[in-house]
Amino acid sequence: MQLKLPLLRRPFELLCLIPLAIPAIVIVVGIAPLYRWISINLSESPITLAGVYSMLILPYTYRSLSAALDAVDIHTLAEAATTLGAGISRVIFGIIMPTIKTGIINGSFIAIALVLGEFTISNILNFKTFQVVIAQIGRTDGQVAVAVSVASLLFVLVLLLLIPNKKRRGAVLDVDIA
Amino acid sequence: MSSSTYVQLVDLAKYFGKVKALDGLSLDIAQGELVALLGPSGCGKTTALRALAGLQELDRGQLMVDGKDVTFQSASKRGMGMVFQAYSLFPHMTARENVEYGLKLRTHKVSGQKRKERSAELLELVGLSTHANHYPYQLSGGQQQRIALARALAISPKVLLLDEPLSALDAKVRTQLREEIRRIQLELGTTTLFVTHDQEEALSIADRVGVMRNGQLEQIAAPAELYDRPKTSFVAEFVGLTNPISGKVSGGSIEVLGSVVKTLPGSVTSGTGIALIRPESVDVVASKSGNATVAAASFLGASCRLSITMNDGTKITAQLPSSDAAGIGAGATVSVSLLDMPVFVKAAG
Repeated sequence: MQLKLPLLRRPFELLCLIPLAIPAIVIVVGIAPLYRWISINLSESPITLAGVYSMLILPYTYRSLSAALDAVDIHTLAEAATTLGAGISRVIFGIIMPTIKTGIINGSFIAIALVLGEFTISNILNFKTFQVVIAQIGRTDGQVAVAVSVASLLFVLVLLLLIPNKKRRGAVLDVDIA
Repeated sequence: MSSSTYVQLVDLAKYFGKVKALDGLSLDIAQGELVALLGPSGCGKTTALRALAGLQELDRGQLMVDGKDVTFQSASKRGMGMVFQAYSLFPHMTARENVEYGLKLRTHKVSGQKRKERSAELLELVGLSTHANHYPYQLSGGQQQRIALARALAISPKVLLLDEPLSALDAKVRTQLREEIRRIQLELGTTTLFVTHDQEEALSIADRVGVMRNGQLEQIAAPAELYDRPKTSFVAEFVGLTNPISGKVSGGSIEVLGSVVKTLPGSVTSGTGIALIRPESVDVVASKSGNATVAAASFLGASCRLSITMNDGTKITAQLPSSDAAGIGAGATVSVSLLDMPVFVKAAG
């Protein structure tokens, strides 16, 4: 995207931010008929839920990836690798991916944290995810539900705490390149 | 020249909308030669270099390297070594890994042991053996460009392409590194195309310098030839400093500042013309009955630059050896004449 189609960057950015602006409930209501169709024609599996989730996390992952891509001169790096004999796949997997590794890791952490905290969509689409189960337990046994919730909160907290640690090396890098 | 021509750019053209980046550029480079392309920004010099590297598609033209047509060969297969203006080392690799990268992609030809030897050899060549295990962010700008040079040379490129590799560096490192580039280039005998907007850089290290303008080659010649015998007014004015002074042209010479000097081929041949006079072609002698006054004098070390106002109001700049300029300061009355060096004369107005 950044290399070949710089003109499409703005529209794509906008597209990626849309899920952020629309409340989850609106998304799910909009998507439910589509999912009914999918579950009838295909199968009702967690994979379909993954589809909605990837839409939901798009703004966050996009942001962290594009920040990582902007921090280095990806264009020149790609050209340098090309003149040294690298094909397009080698450029992407051998040069660009490792270079923006921090961005990819950060994006994934945020995505995991987000999905773990998501309730509305999975509940309405009738999937028994972790959060839905907690809510159900909560109706019968309050204490267990609270314990499980706290455990999951701690897990997410640890994930989020990992981000700045990973970032430090990248930050040094960025300063030197700029 | 044609017998040893190694790289041939034939009638290259590239248009970006209305902008003519390249407009019929032709250039021959001999084996082992260092050719510099010099020109103001936007003259197409970088486009020409990128076209040769395969990073820029052309609208028209042909590229020949070592007798083969590479016009439509992809950049990754051309075997060109390129050093970029921006720092382009892969940030997640050490200096050595960067240098080895191009060799690694040719694994079937180069064994691990060979690769190590080669990278050590190149790091030695650029004087950074001790930094082999440093990451790019631990290196200074000059060091990064050296590693980039080593990386480009590691694949034994057919042609070394340098895209203003020194312009991001500070003045002292720049001078040092450009001499080093020349030394390495001569040592390895690599055919090199060097693009720059800095005339000092081009004149000091190139075998031949090509001055570009509007996507075309204005003149290509050895540095001294280019400086002393420019073929067009653009070249005369772009390379080095000139004093534009009008005078009467007739029979291959011009009368200007009270002296008669020969004109260069390509000059205006009759009537009034503007002579483009080099500051060092102006001879200045202290004289009570002189025809000019020194407005300002600046000492440059070995030489001295004088801003002079002639009695008729014309302002000129002269540069002479400091020993000759001793005792000539601001306010001094001097007599100005021209040394017998041919000048380029452009049309008046």
